[in-house]
Amino acid sequence: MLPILQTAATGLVAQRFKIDALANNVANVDTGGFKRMRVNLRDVGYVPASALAPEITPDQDAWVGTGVQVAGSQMMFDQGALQFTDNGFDLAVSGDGFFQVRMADGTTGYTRGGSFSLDVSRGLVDAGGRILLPGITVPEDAVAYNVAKNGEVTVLREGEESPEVVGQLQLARFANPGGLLSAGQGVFKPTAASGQATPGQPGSAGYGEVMSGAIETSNVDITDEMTSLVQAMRAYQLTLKVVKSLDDMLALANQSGATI
Amino acid sequence: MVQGIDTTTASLISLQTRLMQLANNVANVDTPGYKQDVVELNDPAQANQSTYRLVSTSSGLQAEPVGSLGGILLAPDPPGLDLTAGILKPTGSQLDVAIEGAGYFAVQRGDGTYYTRDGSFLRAADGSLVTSDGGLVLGSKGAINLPDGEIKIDEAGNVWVAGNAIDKLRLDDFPAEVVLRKVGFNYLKPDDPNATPVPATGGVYQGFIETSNVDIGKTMVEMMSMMRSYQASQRILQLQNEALAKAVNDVARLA
Repeated sequence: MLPILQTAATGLVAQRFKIDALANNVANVDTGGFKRMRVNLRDVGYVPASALAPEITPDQDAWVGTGVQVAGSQMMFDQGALQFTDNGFDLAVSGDGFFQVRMADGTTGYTRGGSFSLDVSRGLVDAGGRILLPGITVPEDAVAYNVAKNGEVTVLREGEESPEVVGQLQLARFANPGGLLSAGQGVFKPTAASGQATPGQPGSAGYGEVMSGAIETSNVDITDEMTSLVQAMRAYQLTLKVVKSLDDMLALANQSGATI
Repeated sequence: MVQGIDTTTASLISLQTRLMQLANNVANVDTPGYKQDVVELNDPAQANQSTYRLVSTSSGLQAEPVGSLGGILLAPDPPGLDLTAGILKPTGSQLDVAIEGAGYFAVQRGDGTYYTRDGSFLRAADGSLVTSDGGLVLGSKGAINLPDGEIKIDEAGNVWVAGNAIDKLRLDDFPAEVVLRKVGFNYLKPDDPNATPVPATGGVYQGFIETSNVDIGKTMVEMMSMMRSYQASQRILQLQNEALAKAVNDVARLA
């Protein structure tokens, strides 16, 4: 009888994992640049019933499953809505691709953008102080600043007639963005599952466009998440009921003195 | 020794198998593409077992059939797989596909071809279309490799990336007499290794996933029903035990 309890218990573990992910999504419905997480489930291996309960005779035998497990947690990179802000240095991507920033340890992190500002040396950095690659410096005498959709950064110096190019932003793509590792603050690191970063010109085939003065909001759809959360909690409750019923049956078996 | 006890034991064991399958159904109430095992109890056509009582006759103690207790005592028929389609849930993800109608996706793993209704596919680092455990999703030309770009899959299963036709998703089906068995990781396999698949008639919907076909309401009712059957069988076992004790201790007493 105990294998039955274990099978039912796998449902509790899996649903709990799913509820945690959904609750985190809901908590981050307003977090700029947040990408929702989806938990995928799959059933576990099937064995003959007699392997779990030796008293089962061959004519009563059947294939039984041993529960459910989490197949993986997938980060979903569908586009979040763009919100235009007052900060001219804010950046977002419309379409596929990530900006590249230099992490504190020298490696490259990838981000969908966010609030940028100038550091003491007038270099463009993100909210965490990470330099936006390839490194953009806005001169002191700049009176206007713009980033075109193709990533070209231009400034208009005082007294000049036409803008001057100070840098070219590139966007990086991944074969499987769902496999990226979140390093916090909207920055992601590549993994073996995500594949290597492929930089390219924004606006070219397959690459999104750079939106200046805007940030990408969370891609959490509150209705979807609440519906899934309710379903997951119902599944959790159902499994608890099953575990309770099985427990009652076991108690019955002990009481009556039957040795099944 | 006493047929009644053997019969009740057989029914309890049969109940145990069905309980295991019920527990697995419940655990997989949220698993995409999952097909539940049928654990129906009270099927009058199958309940052909009887209970017995001990009567004293001229030739000694005999076990006499009392009558059928309906669905409490079960016939040892293995339950089958319920292949009813699950509800399609929209996800908006371009790598999710669901089958409407009959058919299965064909997936190549290390040791052969497996079949699944779970269309929550991923794109591996090398661009191939894979399942959650790395199995290669098969198209008409073999394993499907996706270049960069927006993926579109039409109802016939044709896969387009950035406007270019890449391949067509292979949808296989099996005739009704082929028995399919779940083998874990959301895969199914035919029991007969030589069974050949035929092209399926179902259509494909991109951005959808087929949910589990476990019916929560029905499952709870079945579980309560099983609980009562278990209690009843336990009670019968007790009574038979007492009857046997009487037969052994009292009936044969000489003094």
